[in-house]
Amino acid sequence: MDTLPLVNPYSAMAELSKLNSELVSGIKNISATKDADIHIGTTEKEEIFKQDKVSLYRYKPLAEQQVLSTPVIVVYGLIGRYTMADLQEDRSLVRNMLNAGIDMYVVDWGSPSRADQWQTLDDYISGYLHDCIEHIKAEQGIDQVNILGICEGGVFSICYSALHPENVKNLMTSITPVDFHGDQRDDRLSHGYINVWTRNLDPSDIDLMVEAYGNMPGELMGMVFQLMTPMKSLTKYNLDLINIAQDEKKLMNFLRMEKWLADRPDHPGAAAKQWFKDLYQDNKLIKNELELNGQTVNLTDITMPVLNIFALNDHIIPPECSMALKDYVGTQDYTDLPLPGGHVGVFVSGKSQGILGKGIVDWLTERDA
Amino acid sequence: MSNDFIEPWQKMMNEWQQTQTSMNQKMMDNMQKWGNSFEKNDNSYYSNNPTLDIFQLFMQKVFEHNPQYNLQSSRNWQDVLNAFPGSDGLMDQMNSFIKGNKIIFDKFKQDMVDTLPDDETKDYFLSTLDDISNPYSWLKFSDTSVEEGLKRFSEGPLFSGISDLDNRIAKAMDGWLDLGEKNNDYYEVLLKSWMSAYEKFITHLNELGEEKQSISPKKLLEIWSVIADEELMVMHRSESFLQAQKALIKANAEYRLQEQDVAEVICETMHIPTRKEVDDLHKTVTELRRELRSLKKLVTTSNTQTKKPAEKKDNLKDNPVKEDFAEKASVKKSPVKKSASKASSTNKASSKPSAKPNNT
Repeated sequence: MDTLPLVNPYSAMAELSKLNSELVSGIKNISATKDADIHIGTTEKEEIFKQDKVSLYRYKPLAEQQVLSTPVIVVYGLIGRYTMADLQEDRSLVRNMLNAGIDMYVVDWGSPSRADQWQTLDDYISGYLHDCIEHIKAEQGIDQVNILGICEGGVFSICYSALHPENVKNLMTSITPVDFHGDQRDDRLSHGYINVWTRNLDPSDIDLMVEAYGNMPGELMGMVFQLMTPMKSLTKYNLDLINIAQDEKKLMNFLRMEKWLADRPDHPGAAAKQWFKDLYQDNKLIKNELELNGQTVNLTDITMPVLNIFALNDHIIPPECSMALKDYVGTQDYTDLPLPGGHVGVFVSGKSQGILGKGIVDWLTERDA
Repeated sequence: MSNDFIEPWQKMMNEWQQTQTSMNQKMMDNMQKWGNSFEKNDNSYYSNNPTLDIFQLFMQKVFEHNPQYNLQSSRNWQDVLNAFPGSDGLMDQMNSFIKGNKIIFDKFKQDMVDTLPDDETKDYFLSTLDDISNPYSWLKFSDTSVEEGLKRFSEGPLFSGISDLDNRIAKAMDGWLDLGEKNNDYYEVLLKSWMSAYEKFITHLNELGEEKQSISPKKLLEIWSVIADEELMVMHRSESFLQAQKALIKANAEYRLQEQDVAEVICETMHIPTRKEVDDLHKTVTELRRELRSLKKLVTTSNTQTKKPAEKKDNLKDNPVKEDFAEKASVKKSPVKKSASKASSTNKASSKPSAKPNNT
């Protein structure tokens, strides 16, 4: 006969009491919080170049002496914002690198609207990114820059480095998909759902969505991210929040992350078609079949040193998708930097702060001759 | 400074506190009533046992939110309840509530059927009543005959006697109904998965019960979270879910376009630019931008051929960075001019094939 376990009334009382107490502490903490406390991307910077909605910023140096002869340009993707690498003062890759004496730039793609629906990956990579890099070169009187590409921005950086190798001294990619079907080699249930989801769509479905919305709505991508962690998405704003809110520091971290997540721009339609159909569905990058601006992106043209950073527990870009890079690039100087944690954790977790910044600085310094 | 971001969070948590306070008050009232009831029955020992009341309330909540589970598993819960003295009243109350409702509903049904003239009408009435009481049918947008009628209209020949707007509205209505249907199919897959998670949860609890383990509500929630999470992840990757979701996304996009078609006619009538016209305009602007960029590159290439390359700065390592930044900061933007002037820098990119203005 089926017999259900007894719910212990004493522990139920104790837990209810604890919950009340946590809620009261949480309310006290959140009541004392102001918008000014939840600023993200606060490292001081200056806009030095602007074209349409795209801005190029140069960060104000934090160290007395510069350690590299070549500056680093950070390239984020169109899904999410570049502020991920500078979420908060004590968890900022940008700040860590500036403190180490590296000259840093970042590209901000702006907030694409329906007016930008016809912008392609070609426009972003061979157009805006190329112009930003040319601007840095002209401004500093140098021939090359170091590129640090993050997530989709990593793909932009790879494509750019293959098309313009003469402009790139060192290529660094982080949490970047390269083999878009690599998820099939990762049997963890929570990993690679975007890959599965996208492959399930017909190419005509993607065209239809873009036709209907102009762009790929940021909210749609947000929904797919939520499907990856279903229960976490359901308990995040109730049980988890009560638990977090009692700790002032955790609450601030949570709210900063929420602020970053809530600011999810729409992905320009024409670029979204290429991103999902050419890359996620047809996996053209590793086949050397991706065409941008009439040129074929050939990964063997990447002959500069490459540092590939990936997260071992990345459920959004499974490590197998990123690690594939070493099999396709033309360089002999290739380095993997695997890090513990997940997709966003690489940049914001306390654990990875020391490893990531130091890893990049050491690697660049060795190649700065 | 405004606090637009944080204020909604503060409001939400304050509302939680109010709810919690009100719940606590009700709980205290119930405990008092329960205590009074035992006092009257000379059960003074139990009236001093507040944990029993908390448990009663917990059980009540379980029943309220899970009526189907309650019906299926009441026998087992009876065993659990029997382990706690003074719980008989609660089960009796639950049973009489369910029975009471059933009696009222049956009587209403019979009274209505008695007023109807023939068997056919009675059957129709009873099946309609079943539909009304079936939660799945609540999700439906219309009666099937309406759907079929609209379909015939929207898929039929284009009669000159019927205006274009009417045809577009009919198509949009058809799309709306299709969206409703795909939405139902999608939620059906979701519901099945939740039910399956629930079954696994109960099975797991029974296994714990067999081992005579007691459990805290927090542990109960943890078990539920782990089981539901895995079940939902499996479901999200299942063929049935992926197909249902794909169909829903497609129906949603199609409906949006049909809706846009209707709006086009209205915009034209009201002398307002239509969505398509604005989209075309944006396309032209994007193409012009590409052309401008391409021309700027040509200018750069031409200048590179006539000017000497800029001298590369000496090793920047030895330059104080802060001074360098201040110097550069004064350069500031001016995109078009900058782009042309930077031609003096080395531009190896120009050795690559010239960019096509548009390849979309």
